[in-house]
Amino acid sequence: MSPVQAMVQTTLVPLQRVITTLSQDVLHVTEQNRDVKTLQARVSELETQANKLMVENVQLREMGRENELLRQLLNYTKNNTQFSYQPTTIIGRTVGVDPTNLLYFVYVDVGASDGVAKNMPVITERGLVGRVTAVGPNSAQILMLIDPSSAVNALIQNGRATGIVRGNIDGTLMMDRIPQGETVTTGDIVLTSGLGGNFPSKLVIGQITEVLQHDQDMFQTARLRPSVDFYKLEILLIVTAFQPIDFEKEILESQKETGN
Amino acid sequence: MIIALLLQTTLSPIIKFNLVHPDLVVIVAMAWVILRGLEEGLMYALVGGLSLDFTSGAPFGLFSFTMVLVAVATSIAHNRIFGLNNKMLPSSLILPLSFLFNGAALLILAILGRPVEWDFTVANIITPAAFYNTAVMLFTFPLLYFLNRLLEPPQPLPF
Repeated sequence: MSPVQAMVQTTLVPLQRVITTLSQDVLHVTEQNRDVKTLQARVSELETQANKLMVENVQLREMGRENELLRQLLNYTKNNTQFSYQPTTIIGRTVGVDPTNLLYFVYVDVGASDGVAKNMPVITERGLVGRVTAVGPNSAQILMLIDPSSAVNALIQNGRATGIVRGNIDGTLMMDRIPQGETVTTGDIVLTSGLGGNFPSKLVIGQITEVLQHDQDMFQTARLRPSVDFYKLEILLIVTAFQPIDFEKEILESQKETGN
Repeated sequence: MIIALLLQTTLSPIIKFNLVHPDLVVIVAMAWVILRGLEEGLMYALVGGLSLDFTSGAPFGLFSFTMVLVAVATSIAHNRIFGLNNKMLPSSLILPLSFLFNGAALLILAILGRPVEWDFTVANIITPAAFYNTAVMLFTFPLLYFLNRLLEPPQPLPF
């Protein structure tokens, strides 16, 4: 190495070192960046996969639940072949609930075009839900048993005492008009009696939780726990084969005929 | 209004707290009467009432009537108690006017022959609903206030 070359080298070496170090640092940082970017891409890919799996998991769980519900309904329909049923689902789980705090109605996604008619009883595998009060082409309005304007003729399974089950604004049921002298005990199951012709007989309504008996009253009253959870209705069955009897209309018609 | 109705019909079982859920349609209509005046608010109240009538099992017209009643009462109370320029405090009217809305609806239902347990309903449905509506109004009113400002920015002062 000539002296000039040596001098140049001596001057350049620190610079070269600096530049080399800098370039190596830059390279290192770039590589790190690339690694970070690769990792970020991988993380976001995994996140997407996790989200997808979560959605699939939720869908599968929902399908499983629906499957279980439909199985229960199928068993119910197999065991109760005297009726024909129109299966229906409430439009979504929450859509179709009455928007006010004062009434208990639900709406279902089947209507006149599916053979649903006014006054048809509505049930689940757990028991009576209510009856159809209005029908549109593709939807129907159902008055739930717990609505205060609802009344069903009922009988107590054990003692065969009859009465009327009415809805309460607090979401429970009351059975009144139970004759004094009839034995009513807590835990008894209450069924529809079929009297009045509005509902088929032997549909489960609920279980007696409290008996209100006063000697001075003409009738006993009992508080019922409904067998159906009215706040978690998903799939309902509308009993399409049952023809409710409108006594008032029939009496009026017979009176007209007699008059003629 | 339609969003409020959709939320009310879809979320009511989820946001239900001990038998009651907030009356979102009433809250929005009332807020709109306070923010935009009776003329415009009345139209929204009527639309809200009609939409409640269409989606409820109550006799048709019941909620149109009670919503209009609430809108008019809101406007009168706003004007007489707070003055028309006060826009925030009148939202507190939701408490008494929720009683008016649900009470009037229940009264009409009772007149039409529906069995009503007044004591229980007032204590366990109407009163909690009024407080629930007030709580929801605390969050909803500022949002509607800013929405109103976006739709109609304040006019510059004339000097």
